[in-house]
Amino acid sequence: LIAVGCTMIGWAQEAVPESSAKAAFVFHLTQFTTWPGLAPDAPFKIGILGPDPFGSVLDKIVEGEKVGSRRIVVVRSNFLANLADCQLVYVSAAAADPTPLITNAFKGRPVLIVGDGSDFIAQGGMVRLFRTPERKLRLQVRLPRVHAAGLKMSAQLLRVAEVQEGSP
Amino acid sequence: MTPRDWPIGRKFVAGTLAITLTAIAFVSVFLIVSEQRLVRAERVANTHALLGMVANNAAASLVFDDEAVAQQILAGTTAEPTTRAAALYRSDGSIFASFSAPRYTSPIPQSAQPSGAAFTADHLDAFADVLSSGKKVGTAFVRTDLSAMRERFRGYTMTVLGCSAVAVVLVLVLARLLQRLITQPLLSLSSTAAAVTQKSDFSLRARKLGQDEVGQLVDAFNRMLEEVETSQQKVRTHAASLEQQVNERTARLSEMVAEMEAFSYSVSHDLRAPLRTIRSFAEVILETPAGRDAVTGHHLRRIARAAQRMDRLIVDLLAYSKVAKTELKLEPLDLDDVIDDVLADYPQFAASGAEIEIRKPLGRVLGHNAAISQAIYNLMANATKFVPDGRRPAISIWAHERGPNRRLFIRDNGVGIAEEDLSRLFRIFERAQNAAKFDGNGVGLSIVRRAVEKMNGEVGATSALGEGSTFWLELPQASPP
Repeated sequence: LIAVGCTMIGWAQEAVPESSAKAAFVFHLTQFTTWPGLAPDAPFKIGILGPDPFGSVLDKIVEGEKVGSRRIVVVRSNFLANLADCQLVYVSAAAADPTPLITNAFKGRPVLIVGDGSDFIAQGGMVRLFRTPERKLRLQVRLPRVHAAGLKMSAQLLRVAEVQEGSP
Repeated sequence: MTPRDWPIGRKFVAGTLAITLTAIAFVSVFLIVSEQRLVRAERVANTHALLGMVANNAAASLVFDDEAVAQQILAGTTAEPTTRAAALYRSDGSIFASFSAPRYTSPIPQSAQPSGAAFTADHLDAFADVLSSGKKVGTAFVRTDLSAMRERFRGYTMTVLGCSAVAVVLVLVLARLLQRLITQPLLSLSSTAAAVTQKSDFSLRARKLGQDEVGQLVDAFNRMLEEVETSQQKVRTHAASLEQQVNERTARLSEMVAEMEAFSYSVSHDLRAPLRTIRSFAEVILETPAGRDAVTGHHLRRIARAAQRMDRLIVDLLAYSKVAKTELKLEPLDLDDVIDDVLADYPQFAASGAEIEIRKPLGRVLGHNAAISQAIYNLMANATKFVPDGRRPAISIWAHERGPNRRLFIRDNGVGIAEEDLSRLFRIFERAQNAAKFDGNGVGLSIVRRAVEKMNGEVGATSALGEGSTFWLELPQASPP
């Protein structure tokens, strides 16, 4: 399984298919972020809101992987309500709900809200995946919002991310 | 010279040095080896710490594919000045980011290797897995320079070797000083012993330099010398007293002998006068009418003969004591002349009808003319006297060299002498058993012996009963004139 995982990461690094790289980033975000008060036996849920950009790639990447001692499951839904118990929510660029609505829905709860829309941060998102002019996939983090949600990100992660300060 | 023959001092110094060198070599090797291990371990630990810093910080840069951050992390390794290069590899082993110290141009490994450290000629390469949540996401690599370590190690080695050299020199100096402490008493004892042997001086004493075993040996040696000296003195005293005793006794004996000789000489001399009177008057009476009586004449003739025999004995005794008394002056003599003189002086030998053969030349000897003539006369007289009735005496005289001496032989064809008589024949008043029927008094041969011995010579005889005798006398040979 590790071999499969590594292979997947390998793909991501080669950044061949867009979806693979992004899926790997989403998975790795779970590894460098700390969620408070997680029930030890419940699975860690990654929710995808709106049309799934990853297909089966994300499932393959997270298969057998864990956050702490929890296995990871991926749930997909077009309705916010169905993703209420997720720890990470990926907001597809093609999601029906407007981003501020989504962020407000999770406000005050330890949920990491990730997306790749060009104005995702401006509209209240926490982590945005974007391409540099050199076509490198990078992270943009609105750290006060992350902290406001009660989440902690490792220094390593913050070092490779483009961190935005300011109000939550 | 084998070590066994070395002087004690050298043995001591060599032994001490050998032990010290062994100990120092052992300790030095131990110190150097352990220092090397320590330095290496320290270097490995340092390098691993550096590597750990890289590995612990590089996971995110690897998984989020951020080379720039990776470069920053790698550049952070220059905090350790020995760092030469560092690199990060992806989980598939391909190189992700690398960093080289300024002016460091050597190539770095292009693919990841299993974690661990390896020493090469001038650097240490170390690899470690980069983990994220316990999973390997890549490999970190750090290369550190060993020249500083080697420099430090070389310095350490030089220090150890320098200290060892100083220690060896100190040990040498100390060993020399201590060696004197040990060898000086021994050398002093040995030189005293040599002096004692060389000069035979037992009054010498060895000097005692301490109370140790050598000191005890010196005491024992001195006690021994004392004893030897004491006993030597005793022996000397004893020898001196013995010598004195011998001298005293010899003097007394010589005195007694001289007295005896003087006494016998004067007695012999004084006895001849009355004897001559007896004989003269016996012959005078024979001419008178009373002497013409047959019985009286017979008795008178017996008296005269007895007186003549006694006179003869006295003459011989006088000759014997004269030989004994006189100090003989020795000179080279030609034996031919001596024999000729004897034959001329005593015409009775020629008149007796004896056959006399002389094998000249007889050679020259060192002797006294009168003494040799007396000896030869006596021997020739015996040779013509002890001959069976009806046999014509035959005498052979010859001589030959014998070592530094010359031996003169006089052989006769007389009655011969029994084996058992030969040994005592030359003593005074001794006569052979078969000589009884011949006229004689047992003094002649003792005069021969006395005379020859006075001239530092020897006499002897060989004989067998009925086959004649050969007498010889041996005297030191004289060189030709």
